[in-house]
Amino acid sequence: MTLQLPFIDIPPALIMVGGALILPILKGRLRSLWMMALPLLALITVLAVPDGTHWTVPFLDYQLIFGRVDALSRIFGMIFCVAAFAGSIYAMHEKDAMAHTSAMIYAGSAVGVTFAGDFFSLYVFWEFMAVASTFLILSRRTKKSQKAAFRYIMIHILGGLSLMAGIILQIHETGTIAFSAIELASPASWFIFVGVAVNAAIYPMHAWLKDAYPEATVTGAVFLSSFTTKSAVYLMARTFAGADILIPLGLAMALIPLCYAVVENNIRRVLAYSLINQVGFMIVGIGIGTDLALNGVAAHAVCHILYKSLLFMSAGAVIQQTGKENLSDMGGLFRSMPWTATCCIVGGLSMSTPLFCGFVSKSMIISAAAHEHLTLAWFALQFAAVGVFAYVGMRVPFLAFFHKDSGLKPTEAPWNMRIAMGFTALGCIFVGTNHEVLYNMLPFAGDYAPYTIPHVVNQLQLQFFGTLAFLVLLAKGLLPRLTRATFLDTDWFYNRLGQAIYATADIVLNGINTACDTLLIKGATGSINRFAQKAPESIAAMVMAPFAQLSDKSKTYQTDLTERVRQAFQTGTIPSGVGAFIAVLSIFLLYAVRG
Amino acid sequence: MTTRNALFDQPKTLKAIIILFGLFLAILLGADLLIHPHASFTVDGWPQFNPIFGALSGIALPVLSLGLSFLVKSGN
Repeated sequence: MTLQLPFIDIPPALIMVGGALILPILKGRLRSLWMMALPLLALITVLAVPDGTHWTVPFLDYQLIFGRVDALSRIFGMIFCVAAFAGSIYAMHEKDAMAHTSAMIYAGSAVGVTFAGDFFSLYVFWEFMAVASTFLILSRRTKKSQKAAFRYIMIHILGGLSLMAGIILQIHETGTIAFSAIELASPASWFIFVGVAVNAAIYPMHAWLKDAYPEATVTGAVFLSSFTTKSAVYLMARTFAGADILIPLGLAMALIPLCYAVVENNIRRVLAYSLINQVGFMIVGIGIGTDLALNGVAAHAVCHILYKSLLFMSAGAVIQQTGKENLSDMGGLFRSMPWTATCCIVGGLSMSTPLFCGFVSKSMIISAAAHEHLTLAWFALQFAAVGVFAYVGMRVPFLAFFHKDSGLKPTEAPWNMRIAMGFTALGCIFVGTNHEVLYNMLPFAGDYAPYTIPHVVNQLQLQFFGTLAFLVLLAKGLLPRLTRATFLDTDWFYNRLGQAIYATADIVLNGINTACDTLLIKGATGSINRFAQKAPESIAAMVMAPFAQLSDKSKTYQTDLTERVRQAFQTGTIPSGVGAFIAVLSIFLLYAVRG
Repeated sequence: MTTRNALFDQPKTLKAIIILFGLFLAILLGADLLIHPHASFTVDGWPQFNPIFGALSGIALPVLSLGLSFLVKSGN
């Protein structure tokens, strides 16, 4: 779908990244306006540029492609621009230039990944994303956020290295930097797969997400929730569609983090776990790989960005206004934050409820599993859909805004935050009620109809009887108690592995260092030094000793002679006869040795 | 701060919400008798499959989470 609009004929990623570099020199409202204008300009370009290859640049013997435009890249590029625009409004009150700049470079890089038609530009934008997003965590300027940012960048560097290794091998194998579908068979493809899987938070490489997102700034988390995982989903759909291994991996993502979400207390960590859960649906869809499934993946990426960023916005507004991050410390906030409460409820309902966006997208992936007779996957996805709706979509707004009164009386969120939340909430409802607009943008033609009476009734039955179970268990006090406990995840293993590698490296490398110091620096150098000092006198004494013995003098005389020679060498007063004798002897020995 | 929106504080409102939610669930149960089920497999065509599956999922998830939390809880 291309719109007839006048547009700036440069890559949308460069509009955003290049424009972001001006942000630090702008102040106040001008900076906010510029920040909002960048994604809008990029969005116009994304919607107006026709399908095909655009913005190619020769580089060495290759062609860099900054604009591989088709339905798949366009729909992801479009929603990235919309998310960046909403995030920019949400962040207007923020004074931190570093946060603004890094957020726009991050969003622009995600757009760059989406339209990259070659491995080189893909990799550059991929790494830009990793670095820029780290600054969104660092911008909170707490010790916890610094540590989380360090772990975040380390895991993304590892993922980036894997991607780079795969790209180099792939270029070596194929001789081209252009990329499209890759069969998961060669070492190159596996390296690329692992590199992308890290960013997609595919189980068990998912723990960085729940570790880092809750430590980001209030505005940073909104940006983070939109780009990293979804750009990886795009790349997975582009390169590994139909890879069977993605189905069990996606199911693990959909199910295991959901169990953590139920017992987790930190509101943004609950949302982070549910984010992994929803990306799991998309990964399953990519693994199924049919037209319906891939349409479902693209549609759900759009809807998920909308409702998850809305939920992160609501959680961020609560955290900013109350200073509380744990659900057990909240409650009763609907009185003082009704706008935020309403938007949070819309975000929760948008997960699966008819008339909201998630309903028209998630059910495509579940239906695709049914069409392919993947019974186990279908049951697991239905279970995960019910669980995330009841225990995140309903539980988070309920515990934060209703439930027991926490006694907190904050003011409502700033006006820009409310506008951003309202805009995103309207987006959720618009897509839910006008699904054909979304469906017309999908990569494949199809006739999927979400609003049939049986489908609507079945989904309502599933979701609301799941919610009934949640409410009954909550009323009876049978739900796991929310505490400030830490729950170990797979990061426990790689944190321990990292510590073990560090300890081993410490012992081995420092051991080698100490041994080298002892043997070479202190030992060998000292010996050579001593040898250099004593060698001439010792050699001379050794040479003189047999002649002294031949002279038939006493033992005492022989010892005295040797000692005199030593002293003569040390003081530099060698008798000329002795010196001449040694010289002659040395020449004789030299000739004898040469034969 | 303001407490102007006290709608959900009133017992009457809460009671009405509970009644409406109950009615909504009853309608959903009744609808199963009227509409032809959209079955992808054999089992999901059984009467009241979706409400039962939904409720059991809603119960099973915290049970699984509780079991998991015993394994992975590292302390406060």
